[in-house]
Amino acid sequence: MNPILQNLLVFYCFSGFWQVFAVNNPITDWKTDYSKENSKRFQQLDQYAFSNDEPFHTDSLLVIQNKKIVYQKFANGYKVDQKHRIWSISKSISAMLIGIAIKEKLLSLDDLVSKYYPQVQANYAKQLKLRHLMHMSSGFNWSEGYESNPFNSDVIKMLYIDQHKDMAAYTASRPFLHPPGKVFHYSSGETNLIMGILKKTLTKAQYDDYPWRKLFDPLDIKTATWQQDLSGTFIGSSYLFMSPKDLAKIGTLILQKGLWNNKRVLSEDYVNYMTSLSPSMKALKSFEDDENDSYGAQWWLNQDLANKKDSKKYPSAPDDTILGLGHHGQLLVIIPSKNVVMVRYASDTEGAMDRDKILEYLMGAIHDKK
Amino acid sequence: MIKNNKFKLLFAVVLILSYFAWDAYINSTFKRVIPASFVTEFCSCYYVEKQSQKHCEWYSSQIISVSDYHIDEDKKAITAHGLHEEALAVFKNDRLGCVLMEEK
Repeated sequence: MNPILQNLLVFYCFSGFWQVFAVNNPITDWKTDYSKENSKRFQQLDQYAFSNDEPFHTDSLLVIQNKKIVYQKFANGYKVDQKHRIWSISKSISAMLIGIAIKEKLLSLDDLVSKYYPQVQANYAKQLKLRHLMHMSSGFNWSEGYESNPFNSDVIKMLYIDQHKDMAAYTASRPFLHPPGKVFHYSSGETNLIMGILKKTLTKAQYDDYPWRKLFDPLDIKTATWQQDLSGTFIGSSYLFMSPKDLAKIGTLILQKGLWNNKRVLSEDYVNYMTSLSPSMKALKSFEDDENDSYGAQWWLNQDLANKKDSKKYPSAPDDTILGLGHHGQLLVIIPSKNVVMVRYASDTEGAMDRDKILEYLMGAIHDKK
Repeated sequence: MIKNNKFKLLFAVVLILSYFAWDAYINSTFKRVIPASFVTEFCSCYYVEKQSQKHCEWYSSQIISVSDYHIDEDKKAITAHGLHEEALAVFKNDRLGCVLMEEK
């Protein structure tokens, strides 16, 4: 049983992100730029991402710069408008919905979690706030791991065992290991708890429609599917599906600091908040997470942290790079200083792609920002 | 001396019983993971991503295979068995995709 489960549990996620400039521009359909010169510049990226000699499988790769599709390719039966699971990139989109709910005054980052989930354990019930969940710094005792200790994996319990019925309630009832806000510790449960909190501010019909009405429809995203647990909470940690082009729209909204077709979908302050370094990262010596990680509010960043022993996580990419990362190689890259969005979908079940390498090839292929 | 041996024996018995209790707990709790993860991933792959059955079978059982599974096209439901456990995932609609149902 042990070895089986040790191998079993890969069904998971990672995530995360940034900072930006951008031009507010209508985007309903991107123009393409497949000039000969362009194709040549993307050759290295293409060869690496779709190599048959590497132990990973890219299903699609899309690069948008200066609002033009400068590279796209599909493989393994995937097509341009086909949905693909984005795993933990779902977390970043969950955070965007929370931003919209805050703009509508449904929620505040200072809301106590116990206001919505009274099962939060008493010792920190008066301290744990929504903002701590956004920064993955609840202090909950949580095991995100699989191989390291599958029998203690909270993710496995949450997704597939008894606790899948109400993932937010399960997370809320976890004991604390640290005071809230002090230690960054990546946890899929926290994002599901965030989505559970959002649910408590709306009727069921409003909640089921919320991602579409407030985010996907304004961006003309037509391919989104977002699965819920048995209690009807969106599985914000992992189970959102959409086409690469639709995910690129999400990246572009971030690039444009929340503006879309001259309409404000997200406040600029909130976009800055999501893509600024979490205070818990500045203090931390994280106990399970990679020391080079830098994290905002449900987005990964590429910042060089003074108190970490090594440099930024992806040396080939600029400091302002914002990333959404998902299990099995899903990748959303936003580089404001280059006006670039890249989406990579994959089924990397046997080996991981070197993210810094693909970022290196991306940087080699793109022009300067216009 | 005798008293000491009795204590050792008692300790050994407790240890063995604890092992079996733990093993039973692990088996009862975690063996559901295999069919549950299969039906969740297969249903999402087949009905949401609209991939072929062959691809979805590969994707959903790349780590470990279930004993058998069944696609109910009418109900858009996937049932799977593994380690004597059964799991069911049902496709709800295009927006909400699949949901893992409660164990029987």
